[in-house]
Amino acid sequence: MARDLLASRELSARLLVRNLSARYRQTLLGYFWAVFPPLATTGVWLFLTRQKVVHVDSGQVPYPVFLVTGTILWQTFVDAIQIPIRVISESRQMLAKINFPRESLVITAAGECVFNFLIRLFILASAYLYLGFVPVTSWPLAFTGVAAIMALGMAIGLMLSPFALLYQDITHGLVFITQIWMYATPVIYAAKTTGTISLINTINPVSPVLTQTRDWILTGHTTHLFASTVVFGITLIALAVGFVLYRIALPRAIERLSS
Amino acid sequence: MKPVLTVSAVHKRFCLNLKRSLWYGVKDIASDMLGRGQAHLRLRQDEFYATNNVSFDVERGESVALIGRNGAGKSTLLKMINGLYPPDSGSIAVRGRIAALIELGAGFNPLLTGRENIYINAAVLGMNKTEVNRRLDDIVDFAELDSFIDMPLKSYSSGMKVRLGFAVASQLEPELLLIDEVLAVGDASFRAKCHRRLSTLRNNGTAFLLVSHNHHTLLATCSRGIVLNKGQTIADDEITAALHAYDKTIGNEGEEVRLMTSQRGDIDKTGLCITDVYFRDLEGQRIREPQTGHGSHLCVRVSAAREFNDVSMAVIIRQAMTSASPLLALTSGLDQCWQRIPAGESELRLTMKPTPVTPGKYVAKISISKKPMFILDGVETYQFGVDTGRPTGDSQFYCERQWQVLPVATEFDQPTATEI
Repeated sequence: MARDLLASRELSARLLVRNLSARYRQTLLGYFWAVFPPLATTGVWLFLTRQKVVHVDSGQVPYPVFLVTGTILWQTFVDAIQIPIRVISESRQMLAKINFPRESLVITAAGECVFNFLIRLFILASAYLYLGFVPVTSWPLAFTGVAAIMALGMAIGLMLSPFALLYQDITHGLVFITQIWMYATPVIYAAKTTGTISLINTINPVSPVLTQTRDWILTGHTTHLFASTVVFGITLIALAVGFVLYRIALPRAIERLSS
Repeated sequence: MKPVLTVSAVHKRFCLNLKRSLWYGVKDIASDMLGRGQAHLRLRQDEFYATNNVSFDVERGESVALIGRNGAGKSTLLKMINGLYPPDSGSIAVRGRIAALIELGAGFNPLLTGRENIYINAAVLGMNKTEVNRRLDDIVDFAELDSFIDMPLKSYSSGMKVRLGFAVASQLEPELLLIDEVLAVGDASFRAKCHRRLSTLRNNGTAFLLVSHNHHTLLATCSRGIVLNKGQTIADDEITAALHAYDKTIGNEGEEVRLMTSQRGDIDKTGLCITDVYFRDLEGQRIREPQTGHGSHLCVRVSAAREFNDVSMAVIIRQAMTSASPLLALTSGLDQCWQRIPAGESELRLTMKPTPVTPGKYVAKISISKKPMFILDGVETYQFGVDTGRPTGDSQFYCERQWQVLPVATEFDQPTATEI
């Protein structure tokens, strides 16, 4: 397995460059599209809170900073689920006809996730600068949190991708499910300790990791560190299972594609 | 040496109903995950065998055709051999590098330039960057693209895309090459170029497994044919016999399989094209195979748009499936026989009296050129067999011979030193 990964590194790099350079070539706004969704979410919620339509308590942190950080982290998670599925579905023709190391698609997808995150990181930094916010000293730790968020998303994406080749329902469903999931995660609001929402936040695996990552940047609190570590441990197992599943299930999906 | 490919008792089930097929896919994934395997080979509802107990070997350097009607299981078999998905039961062993010309231009992106796409396509096919850099000029040259190479692929014609795809794929030098219907691409001259490239590979010892519905392609390329019908092997034989067996399955028995070499298009370019190649015996009767030790005419039928003078025909005969040097290399020009070919149809004959090669399979390369060295048309590979005629024993060649017993002459018949 490791040898296959190594062997596919050049191909992965090629496919990554292809996807990145082709993705925005036929656009006017180019890489703007990589940052537009989280900015739009931020804008909408800022407007809603300013107009007092909804009230959100973000603690001692200014709400715009809280919001932009949360949405960008959330978008990173959604990307990590959707990009592997998208990359693999887009390659269905190639998968059905050519024998190439299929691990390369996973690496390509991971590369795209990282690339998207880097663009968003730039936006996040600009936003902090504009809002006059200085992250607390523990902010470099947030990168480990981002890695954990990506790993969790990739694990889910990897497990779903062979089935997404078989059933389009998965792609359709994900758009909807990730929407709902965002509201079940403390992205635009702070994590609660009481009520049904607290229960939802507790059983939601993204919730502690995302909150902890945000806290590392914004407050330096480590209240969710233990839960995050547990989730990360489970994520690593899920990632390994996802990879094995991917290797076993993909040929089965391919034979159904081409029959 | 072990065969380059061994296929043994391969079964594959497919399902006719899409929804059910997808569901079986999920079930198969589940049983694979649980390690239960596919040992039970019962057909489930709506399933049929796409390949049913297929077994064969392909030796190194051998060219084998997979013949059969649509849906006979040819492509399924190729895909399993290529490792796209495993058989439900049975095994496939490939010994050596394998490459497939199944989908040309894999990974092409229409928005990127031809050059960028070469690197992507090559990487998909398993070539690394340094290899591509080394061969870039060859690829661009072969694809006949030069000034288009830095334009986005979507501005290419479909023929140009296919040429680019073939140019990249044909840079591979595998031990086993799988080809599925891709040779019917491009215009006549590009097709001829593809065939030349393939025959170079074959001369270098690459084994071929080819799927095509074109008898002429198969006859010109393959020495052996495996006929599939509804997933089962119904014949595995020498190519002409296999094609006959196939013809029986589609009910047009009796049609003679012949080699069609050039396209009519070629006649416009040079004014002459080869339309057929066959053998006759010395009585002028057409025969399927010449016999060792008996005289034969190798006949080349040409169609000329106008009269040609000073024409020379060259015939190079090699043993099939080897890269050994030619057994015979005969050129009429070298024999000072410059021919005149009138406008219209003619038959050029090379008469071998007697046929010197031993029984077996041979490949002839035939070309017709005009003085000094302008090639009018040629056939890259004409495959033919030579039948047992007069005995040759372990000889490499048939030798016209006489055995005699003469009475011993007296000493006066011997030349003496003084006579010199």
